[in-house]
Amino acid sequence: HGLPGIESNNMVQHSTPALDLYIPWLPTYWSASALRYFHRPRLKINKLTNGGDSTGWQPLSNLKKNIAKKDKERDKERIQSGGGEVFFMRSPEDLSSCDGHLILAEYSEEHPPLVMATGMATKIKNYYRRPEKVKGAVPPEFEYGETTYLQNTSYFLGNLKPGQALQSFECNLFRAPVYLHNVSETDFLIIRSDNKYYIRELFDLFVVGQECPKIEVPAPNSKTVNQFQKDFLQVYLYRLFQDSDDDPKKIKMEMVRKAFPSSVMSESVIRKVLKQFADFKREGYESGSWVLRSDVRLPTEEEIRAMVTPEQACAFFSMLAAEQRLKDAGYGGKSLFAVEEEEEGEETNQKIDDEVRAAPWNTTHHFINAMKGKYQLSVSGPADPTGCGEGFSYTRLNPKEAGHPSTVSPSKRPKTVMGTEADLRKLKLSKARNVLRNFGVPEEEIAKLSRWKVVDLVRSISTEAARSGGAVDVSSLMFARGSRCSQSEAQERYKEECQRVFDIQNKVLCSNEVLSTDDESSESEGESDD
Amino acid sequence: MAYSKENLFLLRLPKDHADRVREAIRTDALRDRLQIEFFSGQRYVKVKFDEDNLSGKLLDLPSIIEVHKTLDKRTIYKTGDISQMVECTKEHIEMPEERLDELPLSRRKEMAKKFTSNHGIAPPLKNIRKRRFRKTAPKKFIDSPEIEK
Repeated sequence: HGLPGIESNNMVQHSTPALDLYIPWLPTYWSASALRYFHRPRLKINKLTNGGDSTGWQPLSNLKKNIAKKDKERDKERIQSGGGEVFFMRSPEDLSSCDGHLILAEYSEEHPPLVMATGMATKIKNYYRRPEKVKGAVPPEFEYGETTYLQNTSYFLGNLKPGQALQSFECNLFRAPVYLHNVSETDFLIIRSDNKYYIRELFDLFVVGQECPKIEVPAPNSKTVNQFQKDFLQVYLYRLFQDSDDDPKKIKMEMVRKAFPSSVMSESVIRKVLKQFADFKREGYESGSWVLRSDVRLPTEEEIRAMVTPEQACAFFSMLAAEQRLKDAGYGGKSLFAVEEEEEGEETNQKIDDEVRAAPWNTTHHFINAMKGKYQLSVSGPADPTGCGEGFSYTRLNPKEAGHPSTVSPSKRPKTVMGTEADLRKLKLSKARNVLRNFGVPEEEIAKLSRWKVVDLVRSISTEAARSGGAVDVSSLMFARGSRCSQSEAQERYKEECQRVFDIQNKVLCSNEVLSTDDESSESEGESDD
Repeated sequence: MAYSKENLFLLRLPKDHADRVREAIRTDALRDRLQIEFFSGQRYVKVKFDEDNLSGKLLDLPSIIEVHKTLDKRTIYKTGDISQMVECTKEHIEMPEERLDELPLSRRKEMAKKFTSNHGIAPPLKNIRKRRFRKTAPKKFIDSPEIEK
């Protein structure tokens, strides 16, 4: 099953501020309130009005001239550099929404497991599978992205059909199918900056399908998180020392506390990290400061960048936001945040609440493991972000249920897997004989058989019928017994299930037909299965 | 234009106004003709274009909407997030006396609902909040309808 390999990192080059973990975009510290509005920034109206009753009338200014001016500047720089490729995303200003060509990306998941920070780069790829036997077939033309040809492999859980194309966002955090739509003609972008308001036209909007994570979100209190926090702090400290104009370079604990308040990090941890390369001075000119030791060489910018990547920071932030959501929903205690263990049995699995199963440290872990072929995903289930079968549940398929069709596609086909509540030992002789009659066993045959021979025949006949799928009536199938379906059958069914959800998502998210209004849909709720 | 923090949101205008504003943007004839006004402790917004007064509401959108910037239409760079939209109508909406940030906690939830949009802005994400989002455990903490203290 052409499972997508997890591609190596660094396929995109982020803006310089993102690589430098620019604090406004990759903050060292998140308040509970900031986590509740994770990537959903709210306008702070009372701040806009500056304590007055209102902002007064504010003109929305046109950016047309500014956009043209910036385009010209960039063209000029390209020419000056000899027409080569110029990297333009060097400072925070370069990431302003006030110039350049803009697109929107609207997520279909309420809480995508990974969300990139401002300044981070993504590539658009257009996957295309050539139709067999059609000579000279060319992929459809796309305004955005580069075309990648696929053979039988897929980078998703399902395969493209011959001749089919699918656009995708590719960054180091995730791969996600995207679907291009037009922004409604009634909608404009407003940018508020420095107390001024600007207006821009919008054109293209990508709907982002369910993410295929490339990295794991670490679980709360895990080793990965502890290590990350130390590295994150260390990077911050190196930069503080770098910025110091003193000789020798020195910093004050208060500066560190502003970025890492006591609610997120204890002072003893900070001291421990600082002691590795600085000394605390109690007396003299440097009293109360941490002074860089003379034998310590500060790492280079490249070295610092390698210590913490923006991707690691995003994964960490995602954990914080999900942990806050669980806390707000009343969850607490370490046990609830546990990662499902690989070898856990059915019973312990049951104890993990659905809400926790859907937490990003679980879904990213299971998706990546399933992609490595370690086990199958349950495909449908509690972590399906759509809650209506239009997405994948990145939960681990219980090995005992593997290949059990009733868990994957309810009521789609007769059960071929054995084992029901019907107890053969308690089956009454008269009833057993009836079952045989239903299967068309001749009366005189039945009469010749002893009780246990009858039961035996019921079992073998109904097992056979269940396998072939040609059952007369479903009730007799509950006496079917035997081995579960084979591994290859299970694998085949898994592939089919993945393909089915993959196709549904593509169909739903690329559609631009006008959907029903609020009221109609609430009436038809729950009927959306097919 | 030097960078300082940018707040991003959407403005949805009635169709005929949208057409006229678009025309003005393209012909660089917008000048100060389109204006907006926010009020302390309110989610009601006033918008005027030429002689027309519009009433707007600041709504919370269901999904995360990212803005990306591209210079080659191959690599895109995220410039920010949008999560709110000022939706305007021609009908006059009377601004309530009460401020949202002065409401008792019990009424905040109800008010929060009033300023919550169920619809994404892309056609397939219409009704997404009710139809497509996984049902999650109810929050015990109460969403304040916005308003910074």
